[in-house]
Amino acid sequence: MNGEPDPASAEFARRTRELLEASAASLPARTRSRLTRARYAALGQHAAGRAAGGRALWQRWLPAGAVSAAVLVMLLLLGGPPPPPQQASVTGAAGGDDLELLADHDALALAQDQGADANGVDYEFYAWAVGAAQEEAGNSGAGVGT
Amino acid sequence: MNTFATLLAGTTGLLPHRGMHLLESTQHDARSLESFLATVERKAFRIAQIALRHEDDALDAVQDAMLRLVRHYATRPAEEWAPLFYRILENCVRDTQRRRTVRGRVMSWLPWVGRAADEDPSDPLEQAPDPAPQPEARVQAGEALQALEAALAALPARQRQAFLLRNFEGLDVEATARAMGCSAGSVKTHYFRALQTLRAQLGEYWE
Repeated sequence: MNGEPDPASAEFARRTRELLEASAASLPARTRSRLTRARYAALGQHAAGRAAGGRALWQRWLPAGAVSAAVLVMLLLLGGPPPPPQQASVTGAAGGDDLELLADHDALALAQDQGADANGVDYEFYAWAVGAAQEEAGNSGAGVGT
Repeated sequence: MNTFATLLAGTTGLLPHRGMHLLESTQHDARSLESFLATVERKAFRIAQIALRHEDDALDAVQDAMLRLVRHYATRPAEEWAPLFYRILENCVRDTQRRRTVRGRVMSWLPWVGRAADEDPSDPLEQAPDPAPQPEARVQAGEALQALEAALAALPARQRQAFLLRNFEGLDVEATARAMGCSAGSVKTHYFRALQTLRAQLGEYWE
């Protein structure tokens, strides 16, 4: 068996094919009618199935869309929770203090005085004052001596 | 409220467009399917009739095959329909043969329905020769066709399927292999053996 039939087999196959095709072409009218009805029944089912599938698609999403829209409407109508009033007044007070501090130069200098410790004693100031006094005294002594 | 209006407008605007696309797609598919089924239905009926030797059973098998193809495989590429359809048809033929076997066994256990058990699935009126005078060529062709159908029916199912799909329906080896659920080599083997058997049995009509 090499896949290619011998000429006699090929001729036999051709004649059987012609015979079968002739029989299929000359089917009785009743049989042809029943085949046509079967075809239409199958196609009708196909069309019904596709239509049902299409309806199911948007019918499936329509309730979800309606629920989402209703939730949006409710949120828009009722509004969000109002901000706490205390937080607004505190923020306003803090803002006012900052403005007053910036406008007052003395207050700003005091606020920027970072040398004082927790008891209010500014050791750097006193160290500077002592140094300045000694330097002044030294300058005076030298001037007297000379 | 604007958000709701936008959402609603988008939704209602989407539906008609999708509906039109779906309608066009459905019509196109239906036309392709109708053309395919119209092309194969007569040969499919003859293949089922040769296997089942009964017109009504063959029509039922073809209708079942059409319905199953449309229901499960309508969305597949059109070039796959023929192998799928003939595979489904062969399954329908086998189902019918199994039902006949089971029914025959059940009926054989029920002696009071012996008449139904003995019922010949083929209609004797359809098998009877037409008494009207016919030209000699038609008589010879009719005899040759009857002999061919009998020889085909006597073949093993796989050989008959390979021979009819290849020689009658005109499927190539690959498509026949897909329809039969076997390899291309098996198709060639089944076809070759069927051809040899038929030639040995029917040589007198052609040689």
